[in-house]
Amino acid sequence: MTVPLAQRNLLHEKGKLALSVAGIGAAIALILLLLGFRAGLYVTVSAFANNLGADLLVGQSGVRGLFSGNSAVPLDIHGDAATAARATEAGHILITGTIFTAGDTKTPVLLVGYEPGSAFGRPWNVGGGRAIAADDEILLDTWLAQRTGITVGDEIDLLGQRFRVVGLTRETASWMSPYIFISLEAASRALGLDNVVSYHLLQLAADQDAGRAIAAVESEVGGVDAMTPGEVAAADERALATTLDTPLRVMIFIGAIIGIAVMSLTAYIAITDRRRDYGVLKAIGASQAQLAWLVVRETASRAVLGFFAGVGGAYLVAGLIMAVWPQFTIVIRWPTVVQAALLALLMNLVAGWLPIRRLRGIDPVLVFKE
Amino acid sequence: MNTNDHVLDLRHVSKVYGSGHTAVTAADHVSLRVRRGEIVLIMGPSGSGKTTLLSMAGLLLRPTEGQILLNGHDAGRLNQRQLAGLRLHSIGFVFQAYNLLGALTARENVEVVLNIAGVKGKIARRRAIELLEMLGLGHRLEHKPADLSGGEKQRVAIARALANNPPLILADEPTGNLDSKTGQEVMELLCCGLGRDQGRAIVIVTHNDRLRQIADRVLWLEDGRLSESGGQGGQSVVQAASLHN
Amino acid sequence: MLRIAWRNLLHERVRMLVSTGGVALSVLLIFFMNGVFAGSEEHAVAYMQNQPAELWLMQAGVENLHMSTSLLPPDALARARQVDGVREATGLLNAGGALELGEEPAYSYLFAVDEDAPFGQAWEMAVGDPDPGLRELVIDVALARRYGLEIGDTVTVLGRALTIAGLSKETFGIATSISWVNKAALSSLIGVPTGADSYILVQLEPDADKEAVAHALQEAVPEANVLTREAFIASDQEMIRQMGADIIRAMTLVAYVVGLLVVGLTIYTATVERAREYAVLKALGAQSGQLMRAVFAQALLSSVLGFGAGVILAVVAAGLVGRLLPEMLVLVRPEEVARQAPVILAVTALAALLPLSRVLRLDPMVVFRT
Repeated sequence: MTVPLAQRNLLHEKGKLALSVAGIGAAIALILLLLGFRAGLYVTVSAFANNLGADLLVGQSGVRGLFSGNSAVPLDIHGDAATAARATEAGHILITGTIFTAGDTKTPVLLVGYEPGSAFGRPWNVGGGRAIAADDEILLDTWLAQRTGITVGDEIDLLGQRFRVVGLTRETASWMSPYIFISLEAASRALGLDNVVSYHLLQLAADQDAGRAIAAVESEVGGVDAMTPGEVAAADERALATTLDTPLRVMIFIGAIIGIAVMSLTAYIAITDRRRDYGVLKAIGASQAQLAWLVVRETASRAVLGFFAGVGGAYLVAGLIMAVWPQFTIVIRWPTVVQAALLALLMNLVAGWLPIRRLRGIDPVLVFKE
Repeated sequence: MNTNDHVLDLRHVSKVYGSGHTAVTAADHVSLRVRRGEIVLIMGPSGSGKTTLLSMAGLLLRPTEGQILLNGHDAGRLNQRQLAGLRLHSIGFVFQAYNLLGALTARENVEVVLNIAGVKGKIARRRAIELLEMLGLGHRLEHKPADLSGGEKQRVAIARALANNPPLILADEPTGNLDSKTGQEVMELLCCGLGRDQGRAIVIVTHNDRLRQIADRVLWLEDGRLSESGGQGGQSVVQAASLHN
Repeated sequence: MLRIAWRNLLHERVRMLVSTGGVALSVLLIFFMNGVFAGSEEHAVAYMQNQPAELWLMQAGVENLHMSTSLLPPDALARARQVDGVREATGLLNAGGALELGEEPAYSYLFAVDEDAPFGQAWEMAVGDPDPGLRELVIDVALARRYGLEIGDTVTVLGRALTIAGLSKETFGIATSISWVNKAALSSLIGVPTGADSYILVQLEPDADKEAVAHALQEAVPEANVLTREAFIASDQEMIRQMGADIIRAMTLVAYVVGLLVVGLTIYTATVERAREYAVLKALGAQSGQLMRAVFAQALLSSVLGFGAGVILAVVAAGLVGRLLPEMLVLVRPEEVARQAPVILAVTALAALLPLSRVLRLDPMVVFRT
């Protein structure tokens, strides 16, 4: 058809079009935000692992991630591990989950004990203040500090010990567990551990193969697993997935149902509101296929407009959410957008079925009625 | 009788709604033949079954009994798709309520019918403009129905009806919503410009007495009976019938 | 005017169904999200609620069971038992861990109590022994069913292969699952001194003064923080509530926007369709205020019906989800329903705004035109 009937129909009532597009856009945005929230959690969960400054982590056998269990290895295997891996540098960290309480606010955090001055395990982005230099000093995540009203210079209690806040870190916020940093010594004391660390961290020689180093460490040092930071991050993501994927998937499913409902509603209303027009076209001699194609084009156009509105809206809302609630990281990357696009296509197909059926029921004889 | 001269041929057509003791007979063995270039008027009080008759003639409603031939094609042997195609090329409708598509301009309302028939692009556009100019709407091509007067809307509807050059025009109260002056103009268009002169058959359903002037035949429906009411010539081939609503 | 609104709404049944449905789905999403966190809150404290301990000891500075690390000295249990008013006391050692179930790790807390402990084990068993031996494990029956495991099967935990000796009930949660292992085994696995406990559960003599005993316990074990069961439960619930608060707020906002748009679209198209009728009423003498009330009433009816349907859907969905995914406890709480009800009124008012402006601008002269 050279007369752009679908386009004309859509633009004829701009208010209705705006509402329909907004409705579809909101449903798409909801799905993108949920997917982006999930992706953002993965980013924050793996943030520390990816910024450790080490090529290998040596931890307790069977513990395969920072979040999925407490690893405990003897401090004195340090030398053996470094030798087996032919490491150029080595360090250690203690890492555990605990609750940070300030007044009425309780926040689960990941406590990292690292060696001040070492390149391993330290916060990679210190915003305000400075890094720790003593055993009674602590670094808090910027959002955590903001949430609890703590600033640099304040003193806080943690695990029965007193610490002074000397700096605030960035890129360490997380809805699940923001990071806080103290010295390894202070962590050992607070956790009642003696000569035990969570991980040995090794830096390999430039020509050393990680796979070979892992094999060497695991065979020569008993009771340990050696992993690359990537493997640790992947393990944490998997652990996270088993926890969060189920409720998230259910919510995404509900979001998709909402999207279908909105698309159906708008397409259905479009048909019933223009019953007469469709009756006239039928009377004039348009075939069922021509009319169905018209409906498909209109529904698809609305869906496409709604999709782009949804993508734009999602980025906007994500930005707003992260500005108001900095503990959330929402990451919407193009694979997520493609995922949402395919879902929107499926929703559109389902949504178009009812209106096309409705079309069949329009009796062209109604053109003779006033 | 040369059937090729008859554009529309209804043979003992009946329409019954419902069944058993609630059955309503809207048309009872009606026969009607309309020749090319003939203008037939069907008049009668409200509720006498004119809509049913028009719907069947327009291939929008299948009869319960009888045969309908349009341009020699037996409608009873055709499926919905084929009927639609026949309507597209053989019938032009003019409605009391105009029934223009509100989202389209005057030109587009005519052009879309050509598109449906497979005529696209510049050819369709040119034909649409030609028709509208012929009907004195050359200055209103890009206006939407909401911006047109009643008379202008009806002229667009007439242009649309003529788009695919059909041999038959079916008009339902074409002057019903117009003032007397505009109604007169439309009447003249139907009679002379578009109908007889171009060999087109026109069937008009109306209450408007003034349209008698242009009719070759006037048929009257009342209490189920169809009779001739006197026109300007032509033979009555309508048989006795009861046309109820 | 309410009657007009009701009749208008019923006139187009499908439209009413879809608009009510759109609101219902948005409400479903909101209550589902709330319900997931409420369920998590409930499940997280199931252990405390099902143990006969009125007082709980934990490391100073610790106030939570979940997402916490606590360690008390090896002699703390003995000291606690000596306190007047204490009938029984049990030490609980716990750690976060992952059960290696084939490809996927299942996150679970690992709990361990002494073999002859009077309480502290699983409070309800489906089958088998609640006290696991050195190389044994008790996991939740629903978790076992999910992965096709039975008594006698092997599961790797923290690098050690353990045999399933018992299947517990009500211990499968999204992030709050509990599995039981042998205490000596756990001590060596997580590198804590033998005999050290994370928490001490204290059951009081029938006529003991809870506060007095708590005070005495604090003096006997100064390294500990002593909490009543109620305070301990409240602390964990509050922590989860705070974790969920912001995310619920963010997603609720988006869900309400979707609901708002659905109602707005339906009311808008219904009003536009009936513009002539409203114009007739105006011509006959109806005031703008009366017409506005009719439009508003229509929006309100849609929203109220949708809200009611959404609550019912949420309750049904919660039951269904609980049956299909036993780790997901979804609770729809009456107080939450009462809290959201006024919000729906506000959404309604907003949704009615656009069509209201059209009604106000209606020219009654329209009745004289065809």
